[in-house]
Amino acid sequence: MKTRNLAKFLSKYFALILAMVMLFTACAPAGDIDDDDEYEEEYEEEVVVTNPDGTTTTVKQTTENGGGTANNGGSGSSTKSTTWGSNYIKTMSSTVAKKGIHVLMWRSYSKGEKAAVESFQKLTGCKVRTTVVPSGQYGTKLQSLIAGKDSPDVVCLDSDQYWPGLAVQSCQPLDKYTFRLDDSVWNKNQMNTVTAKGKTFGAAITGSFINEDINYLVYYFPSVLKQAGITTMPYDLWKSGKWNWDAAYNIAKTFYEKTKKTGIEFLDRDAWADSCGTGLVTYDYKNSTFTNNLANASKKKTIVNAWSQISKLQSANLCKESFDTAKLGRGDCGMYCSISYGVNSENDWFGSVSVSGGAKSVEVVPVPAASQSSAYVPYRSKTWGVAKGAKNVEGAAYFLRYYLDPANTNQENLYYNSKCKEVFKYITAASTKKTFMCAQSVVNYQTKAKFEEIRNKLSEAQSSAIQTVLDSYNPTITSAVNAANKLVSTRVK
Amino acid sequence: MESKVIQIPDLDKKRRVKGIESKKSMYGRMFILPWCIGMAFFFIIPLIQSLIYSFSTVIVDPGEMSTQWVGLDNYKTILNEDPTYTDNLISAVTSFFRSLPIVVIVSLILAMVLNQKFKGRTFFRAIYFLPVIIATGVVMQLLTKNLNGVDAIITLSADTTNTYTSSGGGGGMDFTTILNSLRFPEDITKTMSSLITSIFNTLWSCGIPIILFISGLQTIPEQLYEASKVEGATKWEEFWYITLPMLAQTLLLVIVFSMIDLLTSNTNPVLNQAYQYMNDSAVYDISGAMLWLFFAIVAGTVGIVIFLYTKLLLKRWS
Amino acid sequence: MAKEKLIIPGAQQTKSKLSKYQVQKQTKSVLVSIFRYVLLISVGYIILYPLFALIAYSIMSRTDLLDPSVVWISKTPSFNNFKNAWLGLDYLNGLSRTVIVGVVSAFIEVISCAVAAYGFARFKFKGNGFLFALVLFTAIVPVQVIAIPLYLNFRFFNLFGLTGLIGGIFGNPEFVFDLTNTPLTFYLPSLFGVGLRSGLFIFIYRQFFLGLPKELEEAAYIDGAGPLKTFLRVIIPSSGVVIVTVSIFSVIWHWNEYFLSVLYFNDNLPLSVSLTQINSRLSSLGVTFETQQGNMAAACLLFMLPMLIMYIFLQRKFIQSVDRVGIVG
Repeated sequence: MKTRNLAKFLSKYFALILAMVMLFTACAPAGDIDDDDEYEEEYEEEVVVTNPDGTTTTVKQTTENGGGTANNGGSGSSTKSTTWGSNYIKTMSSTVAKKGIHVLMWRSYSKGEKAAVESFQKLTGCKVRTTVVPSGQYGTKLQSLIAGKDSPDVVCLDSDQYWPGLAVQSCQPLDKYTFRLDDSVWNKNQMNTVTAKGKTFGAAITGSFINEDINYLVYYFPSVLKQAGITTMPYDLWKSGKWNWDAAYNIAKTFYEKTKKTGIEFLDRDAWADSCGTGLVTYDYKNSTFTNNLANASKKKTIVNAWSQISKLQSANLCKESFDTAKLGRGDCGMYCSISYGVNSENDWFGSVSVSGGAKSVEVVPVPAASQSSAYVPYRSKTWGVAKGAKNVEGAAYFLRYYLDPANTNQENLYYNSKCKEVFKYITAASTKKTFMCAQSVVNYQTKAKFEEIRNKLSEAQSSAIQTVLDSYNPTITSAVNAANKLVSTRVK
Repeated sequence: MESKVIQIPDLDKKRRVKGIESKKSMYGRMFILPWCIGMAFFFIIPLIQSLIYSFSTVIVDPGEMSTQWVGLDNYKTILNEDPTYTDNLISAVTSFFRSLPIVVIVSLILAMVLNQKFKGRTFFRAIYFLPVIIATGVVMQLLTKNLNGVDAIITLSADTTNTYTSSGGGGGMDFTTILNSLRFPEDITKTMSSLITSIFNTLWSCGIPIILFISGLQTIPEQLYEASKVEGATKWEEFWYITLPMLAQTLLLVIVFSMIDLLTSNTNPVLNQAYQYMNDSAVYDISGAMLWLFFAIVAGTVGIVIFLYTKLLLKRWS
Repeated sequence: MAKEKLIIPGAQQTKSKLSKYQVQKQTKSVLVSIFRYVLLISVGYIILYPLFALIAYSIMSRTDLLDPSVVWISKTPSFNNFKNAWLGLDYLNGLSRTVIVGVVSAFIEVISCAVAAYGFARFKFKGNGFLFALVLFTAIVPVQVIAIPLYLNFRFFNLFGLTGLIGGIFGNPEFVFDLTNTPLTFYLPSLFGVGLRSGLFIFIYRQFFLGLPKELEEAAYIDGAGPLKTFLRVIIPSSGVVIVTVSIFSVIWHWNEYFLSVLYFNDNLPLSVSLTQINSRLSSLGVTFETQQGNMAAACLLFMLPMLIMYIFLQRKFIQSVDRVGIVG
């Protein structure tokens, strides 16, 4: 009797007891330090040093159990180098290559990019695994991979929706020696946009279509402008140093009067204003802070003046904001100010052009400013980072050095014509003045699509009302700047 | 050991009754046991972790999410420093209360119409369920979003900040352009556009409630209506005194379903803001705080609605 | 209601003049009929508008899409869009993946939710009400809230603590399974009644079971069947309607699910994920921006096609059985 009661009692609550035991052991933090050790033993960082004579030595940081060392002939003094040299691809050790690398993207490769990836694999024997994730879940996927210890090696940060948050939190600082950061091939302007507290979180190479497709330019078709009675083309004006806001205004006006179609269309109107060199927000990478430029009286004056240019165009019905690249090719607008993504003929912006001369006749000029000598080239942040906990940082460095290099993506043959090439090379040259358009990302970091609202209000206001509009948005911008500063100061260790 | 030996017959009976009851309750527990296990591991634990995140600073590190307790800081941030959170919260809750009765009422009306006998009834019923297949999830997002360079196929919004023009060919699906070409004054165009948009959105979310109502209406026996006709009841009285009370359970189901649908829809501004923080900026603590505050309010609202409904109406109608 | 007329052979059929009241009544019913059709057709148009748009766009050729005068009716219809969509979606692979992951998981869920709901409906035990409120709560919380902890749960899956226990015995208390990239990430929650929107299904089932007459089960009990046998032999067969309904809902939701799929799977993605990426995939196939709308429409149609086919086949049974028994008691 007693035992039967006991048995009944136990069986009734056995399930409960079992559940509690399971719950208890399940709650124990999984994937703890032990696992880390396991991984660290196999995948620790190696430093490949390039000796002056071009041979290599592999130097390991910790002891490894098994795993071949890779000495590609010759040993020598182990000096760490911070530049790549011309034969860098051969310096990649086979251990590094064997690990393979994992790339995380939010879009698929273009033809040229794909060719670069495949030739990289052939040259080094390093397998490249690419995962494409829709951009609406890119951050979540990246975070979960990192948390799950499957960090990708190469992370595509080339969209300002992921800046600054994702860039500084999910990526690891690039090591000076692994990435040879002193090499002149790196695009310091771009990389400074993702530098905080002395640490750089993304890599970019000067002049490559991949990294430099977010500089702003003005496109136009000469035949279209000629038909509207314009005699001097913007390119010729630029060549002779006379390309500025007023010149652009006059061309737009002439075009509109003759054809009644929009003189100039914009992808983002703030590019037109930011060519003055002062955007609404500036990022100073040296002390890792954002500043609201409206707080400074003289900068505010420059900003007001710059935005009144857009007002001028808008009130004369000369401009519109639009995504539509086909309009230019149909002759439905005079000029199109947009990102340099379209200079790459592979991106097929002008695939269905019906104006005379065809796609090959398209020309570009930099964004004008008050005067040609004071013009800055506006650009957004586009870099490639290495995720925290990546297993093959070394491989990632080699991959990025190779993949982002214009020489490897057939870039020379992808320009529409020599004029485009010349202007593109000009705007990406290290000596050209550039201005980082960070206001959109900073403001949108706190409130999605807020910057678009500010931009619209500013563009549609009368010239005299711009000051008022700016004042009304000043608190928003200040609050966003503070939030961004808080992010950088607390999360970048 | 039996201590109290008095009242043996009662004890026997109690024991016997208790035996059946406890056996029954044990079987009940067995039936829900898998669900309990699943809940605990696939829901409760992640939920509690998310709750902890909302009270800490979270940094994603390889292998773990390192948390640092900060108490109510995150909540203070979202309420005081974030410029749009409180607005989003208010707009989400008010639009929820606005849409819920509309969806329920419209579905009920359409279900009653579809329930009558007329030609083509099955055809219409089949059609009205289609939005569930079309308008949920992926396809709808694809149809209405303006992606880089590619305009939405269906543009319904009266949003004037969206000044992008559409490319040639098929651009005429935009209702605002149609209305503009009719040359109404701008205010009327705006209100009409937003009205049309809300009508579209409402009807697209009516698919399932209509089906639920139809099935509920089917269970009402014809005799009740016939009896009431004999007694001279008007259509209005029929509706209030027969149809509605008999639909009590269905109505609860529809209300619950619509609540869930509305609260998890992808036009909810609070959810969108939280996801933006999570996905684009990798800030889990603040987004966690946003979501939890929202859910606290939502759970309270849902609880109150269901409680009121059961206590007031169900009692009256059963 | 037709008035019955006595037909006397040979007699003249008199044309009965309708009284004024009857005329009124007839016009009223005609008006009601017209009003009904107008309402239904206009509402139907609004509801079907996306489908019309999709069909119209999907057969437009490249020239149509670039022609500003073409709005609904294509001047040069072509099926090229479907070809591009097929390639862009990687249709066969995506379809098989969707079926393996989504449809199977949907059916598992249909069964497990019925089991759980029966427990809630028919048995009184402590905490019934509270746990049921929890059921509703699971349906309200969107998956993004718990996404990363859930992902970590699967990545370091320790079988509810059992592997920790067992591993502890063998000296490796940290032994875990990595379930990401397997369909188990969907099967397991469905099996335990916490899959996609399971809360809602449990609710629907429970309402239905509450409405079933108790006599059925009592008859089974008298015949000596235990609750489990009763459930299988008696309840399930009479739940045809609600099972079909829940199955349809469940399959549709699983078909459209893409958030968790992206999170769990690295490659071999289901159709819904391919659809969200369709723009960039079309670009890499060489389709320019201006002509992508037609291809997108074709992709959407291909995506919805299996669901539409399933619906067409099942809807007769679905609608008619909804007719007969009703879901809610």
